[in-house]
Amino acid sequence: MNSKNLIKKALQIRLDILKAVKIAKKGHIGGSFSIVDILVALYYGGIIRFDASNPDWENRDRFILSKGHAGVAMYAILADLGFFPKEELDFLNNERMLGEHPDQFIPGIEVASGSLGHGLPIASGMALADKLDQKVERKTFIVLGDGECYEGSVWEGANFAAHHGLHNLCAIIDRNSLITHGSTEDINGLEPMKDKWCSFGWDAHEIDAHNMDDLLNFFRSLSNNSGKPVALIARSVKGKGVSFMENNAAWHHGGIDEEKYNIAKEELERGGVSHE
Amino acid sequence: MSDLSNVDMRDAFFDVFYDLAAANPDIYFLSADHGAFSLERFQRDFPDRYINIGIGEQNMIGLSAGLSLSGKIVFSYGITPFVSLRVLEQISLDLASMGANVNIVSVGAGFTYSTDGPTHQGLQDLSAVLTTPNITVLNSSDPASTRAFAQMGVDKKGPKYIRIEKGALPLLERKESDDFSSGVSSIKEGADLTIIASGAIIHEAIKASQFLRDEYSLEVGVVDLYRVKPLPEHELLKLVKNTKKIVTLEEGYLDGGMGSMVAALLAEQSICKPFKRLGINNHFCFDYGTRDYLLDLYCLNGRKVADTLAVWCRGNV
Repeated sequence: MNSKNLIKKALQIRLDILKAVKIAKKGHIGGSFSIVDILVALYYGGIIRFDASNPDWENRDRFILSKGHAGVAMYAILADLGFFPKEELDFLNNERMLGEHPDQFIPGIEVASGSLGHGLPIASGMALADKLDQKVERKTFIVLGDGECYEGSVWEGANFAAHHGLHNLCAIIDRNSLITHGSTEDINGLEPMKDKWCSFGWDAHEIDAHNMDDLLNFFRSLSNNSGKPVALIARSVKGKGVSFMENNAAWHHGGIDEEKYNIAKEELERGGVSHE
Repeated sequence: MSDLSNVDMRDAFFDVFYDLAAANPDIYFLSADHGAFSLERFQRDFPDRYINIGIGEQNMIGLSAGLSLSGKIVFSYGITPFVSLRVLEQISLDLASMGANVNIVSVGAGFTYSTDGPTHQGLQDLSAVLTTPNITVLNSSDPASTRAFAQMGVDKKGPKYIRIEKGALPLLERKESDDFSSGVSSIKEGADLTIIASGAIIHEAIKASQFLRDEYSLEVGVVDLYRVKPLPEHELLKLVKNTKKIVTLEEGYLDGGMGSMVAALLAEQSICKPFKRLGINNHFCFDYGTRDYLLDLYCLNGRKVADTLAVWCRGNV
């Protein structure tokens, strides 16, 4: 899929998320919208190896959504790819398979997540196993929230992954700079984020989380030669694509009424809010 | 089995572990910078499968889950409070909810680290871990049980919390047919009273039973409840069927511990016999000395347990 089509796909995924959250009457829209382009690049850009008809395929790459509260973004992608029927999205949080946070019983989900700070140690264990077993083709990807990086266990995992040279591990940090009650930098500063990961021994990079070409170029250039795990600080916009949601911590979690839904839908159908 | 009578409990565990791991390249050992003499052989012979992760137990449990989800059988080793309380959420979510093949090997039960205070005591780990669904909790009481647990760590799938001991403990006299599959062993029978104990403190229960027989003519049975979860309900009820009174003895906090599990079982089964729990009741132990000193101080050694129960029996005829 070329980058133009990937951008279209990302808009469609955002619409799917919006609809699911509207029906469910609540959900984490803001932090889901901030990672949509990352997920689309990984899953539709030929980066992650998977088989939707055989989610447990032995040679699949591993993907962990450590910021589990953005589960609905993951569900929209997995449903669209055919891991499970798309109608499940209409039953988010409603007596069916999909809850607010992902679990391992959902096809395409490796591990349950939702409590922050758990994913990186688990991902490191997976990457370590592949390194020890010399499964050189396989990679482990993980998406962490920037607010998740307040958790000490993230840094326990980061230190270990670097020490063991887990070059087959790629951590993407969704740097939308907002947590539930405001700006990370006002509340308890996380910058300089890239320097922090570099100082822990990672090959750290920064990128615009909504520039599809840059995302693709970055992921396609990943190699196994650096000897270091790779951290991508993905500078994102919480609520990306909808004018009244963008950079607004109030859209971290909640429902959306009919009027706002229609405005948001219209904006997304027009291609998302433009900053040109 | 006489050759096991003076074996250090860690040796009992790690010697079996070594043989199992030597035969199975999928077995890994993670340590939170905690060692044992008998572990050095594995470390030397299989350096790729021995990983000291440093001091960071949360990371260790997450790593264990990741390795397990990649097909490995993992043993994760550390001091009791740090591989239980500190990582309770990781145990629950990363291991138990995922059904990971990970064995937490916990050393430091009860007052093992007797001079180190509440930071290092193993008094709360059972209460905490027992609340976790889908985990097996095993508590070593002698070298034979410890060896059996190492074997179970490989043979039995799923997450396990395995307490092992430091130093030598005498071999308990179990029935020859006891293969550690039932979860509980009858060590001796007693018509007047039965003490259900778990872990090293069972040796104090045995001493107490002897004092009570010699000094008070009470016939006291002793039961080793080595698998606290899942509680071997049926077997346990069978073992207390013919005794008049029931006592639990644990080297740990009473709230939510082994005795509480047994109490709930007895209540739900309408077993209306005089019942007492012995352990540490709602108290932090900022006391320092030998393990024997602390057991004596908290009335948990054989002598004090016998005295407590003699008085209790007189009031519960």
